[in-house]
Amino acid sequence: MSVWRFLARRLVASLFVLAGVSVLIFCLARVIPGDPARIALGPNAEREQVEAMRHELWLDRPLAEQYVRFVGGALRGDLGISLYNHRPVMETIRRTLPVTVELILAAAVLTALIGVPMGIVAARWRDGAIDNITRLISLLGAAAPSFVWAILLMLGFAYTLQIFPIAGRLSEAMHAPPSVTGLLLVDCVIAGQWAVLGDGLRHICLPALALSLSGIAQIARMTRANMVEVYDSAHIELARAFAFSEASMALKYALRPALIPTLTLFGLQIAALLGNAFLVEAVFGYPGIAQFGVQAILQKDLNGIVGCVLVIAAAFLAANVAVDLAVAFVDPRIRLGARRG
Amino acid sequence: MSDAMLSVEDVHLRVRRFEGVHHILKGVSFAVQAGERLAIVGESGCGKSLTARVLLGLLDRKRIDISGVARFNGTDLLGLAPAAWRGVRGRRIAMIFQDPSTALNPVFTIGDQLRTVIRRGQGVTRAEADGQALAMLEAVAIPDPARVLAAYPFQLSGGLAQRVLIAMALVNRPELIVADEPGTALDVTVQEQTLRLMHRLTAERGAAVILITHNLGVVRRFAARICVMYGGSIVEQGGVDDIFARPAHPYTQALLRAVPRLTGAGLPEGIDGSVPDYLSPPSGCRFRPRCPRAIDACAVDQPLLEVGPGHQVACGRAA
Ligand SMILES: Nc1ncnc2c1ncn2[C@@H]1O[C@H](COP(=O)(O)OP(=O)(O)OP(=O)(O)O)[C@@H](O)[C@H]1O
Ligand SMILES: [Mg+2]
Repeated sequence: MSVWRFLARRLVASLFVLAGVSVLIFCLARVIPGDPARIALGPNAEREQVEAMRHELWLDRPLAEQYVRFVGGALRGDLGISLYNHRPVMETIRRTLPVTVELILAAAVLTALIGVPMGIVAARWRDGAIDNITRLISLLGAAAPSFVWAILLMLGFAYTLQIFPIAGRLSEAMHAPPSVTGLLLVDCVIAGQWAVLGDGLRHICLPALALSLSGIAQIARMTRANMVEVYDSAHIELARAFAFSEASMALKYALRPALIPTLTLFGLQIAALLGNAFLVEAVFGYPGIAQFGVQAILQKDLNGIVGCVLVIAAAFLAANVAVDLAVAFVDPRIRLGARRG
Repeated sequence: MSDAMLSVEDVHLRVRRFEGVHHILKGVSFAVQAGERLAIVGESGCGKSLTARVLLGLLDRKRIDISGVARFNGTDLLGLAPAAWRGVRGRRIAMIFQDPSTALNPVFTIGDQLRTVIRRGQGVTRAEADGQALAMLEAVAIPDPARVLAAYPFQLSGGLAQRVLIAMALVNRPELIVADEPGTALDVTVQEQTLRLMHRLTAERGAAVILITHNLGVVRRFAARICVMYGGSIVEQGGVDDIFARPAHPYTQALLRAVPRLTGAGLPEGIDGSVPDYLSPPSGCRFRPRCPRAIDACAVDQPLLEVGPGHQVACGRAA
């Protein structure tokens, strides 16, 4: 019951943040130098043409008036026409965002499924092989940003070893199943298209791995540190004194308290994933929102920039609400509203 | 002494640290008969909790060297294989922890934790464990046991949580209960109630108790025998009445003088100096540097000598 109230509070707060972001990006996009109409029409366009376009885009009206019109459209799901590809921004986002979301989800799943168990094992057998591998990975993750790993993975596993495809989301011979969720892999499962699913998985492996490498290391280190700390706590000593099994301590009684700070870190990493996904998509020619976003910025495509930023902000907020819900699920003190401790 | 339920003989405990080896427990020996109540007293840092942890095998033997014998009904606890501890911990020897606010897992319900204790100790079904958990909470005078079972530790008062710890220790009917300063984290009246409850329930079940405390008032009411520890050694042991009436070791005497008295005049006397440094402890009697009666002969190890029936002192100067 109080989980719903908690959720409602977080959603309302998120809406305020989103409104703030929209004002900020709307103004920022308009104050950075360069006339969008001039850029769109090219240096040889006539003055009158440029003026006509400025008028058409409402750029000759006061900022407040422009914003009100923008909000009115946005509430109806209309983010305007892109100056870059001359199509509705919403349409492009609808086509490319699920691709990016799928990549980020894959990276998040890899981060959680590899990072957390690595941390558990590293804490249980300190200075053992897994502990050292974790250290190595976190060193690697810190040594170079994810797009460098994207290039190295591509060179190693796609170009030299040819285990994975070099680029794209699907091979040419494959046809995506009808879109239900927009997430290709999920749609394949729904449609029962296992061959396409396998091909999609092969394509997503390298970009998702490049994207998740630093997150895996951070989550593993964090989980390890928390587990080590929890193993030293009085309640684990009590569990030992009452002969609880090692497995139940590692996977239940020590893990759950240790997961709470890890989950919070996970929320922060989603922000990093959103940013890094742009670069990794560019490296792997992955047809996500990155290409459109980058072009929108370079071309000073006002509607494109605002649309992309808003969508990314919304994704980030949604991810954080999800993480907060997960924390509330794991930690009864938050779920039930502890007054002390 | 060999017929005792628990007999601890010449236990030495050394902790390896970066700076060197800390020799903390030095020749600890004592015995507990079935159903007996023994108090271990001594100032902070003298090794009481470490002694309790030795008895439950809770110390990391990779960092900590333990030598000696701790025979519990014929098995030597110090040589017990990890798998064999399962039959002992929580089942034949149970521990009551000091601070209920940290000893219970904050993210699991009381019911989950108590049920796990029961199932690990007795191997019963979930339903059976549920029934026992409920009955046990009733036995420790918890008014609304069903609600407490469903609650998380942060939802309970300190006194209630301490009762849960007592319930955990008693529920598998162990032969020996080690209580490490139970309730000292609570306020005095709650602590008193807790101790009374523990006293009554252990007496009903015939469990022996090792009560660790630095409150001598508590000792007088809840124990029959006392071991006085100083700097990792037992310096004096005997019946409660003997020790209160005729303390023989200079440390015990100082300890008794340090007890605040409600009757009589004057402030309690403190003991000069501090607990010895375990990295390079004094040779022989470790109380020597603080002892008003120390002589050169105190620099060699002092064996426990009989000064009365069941009353022993490790001091050559006590006569
Ligand atoms: N797990 C441990 N590993 C290493 N050293 C320890 C450990 N526990 C305690 N010690 C050290 O052993 C000494 C005795 O500690 P112990 O906890 O047994 O004292 P205590 O008599 O229980 O004191 P208190 O009344 O404060 O609880 C202290 O110097 C402490 O620093
Ligand atoms: Mg202690």
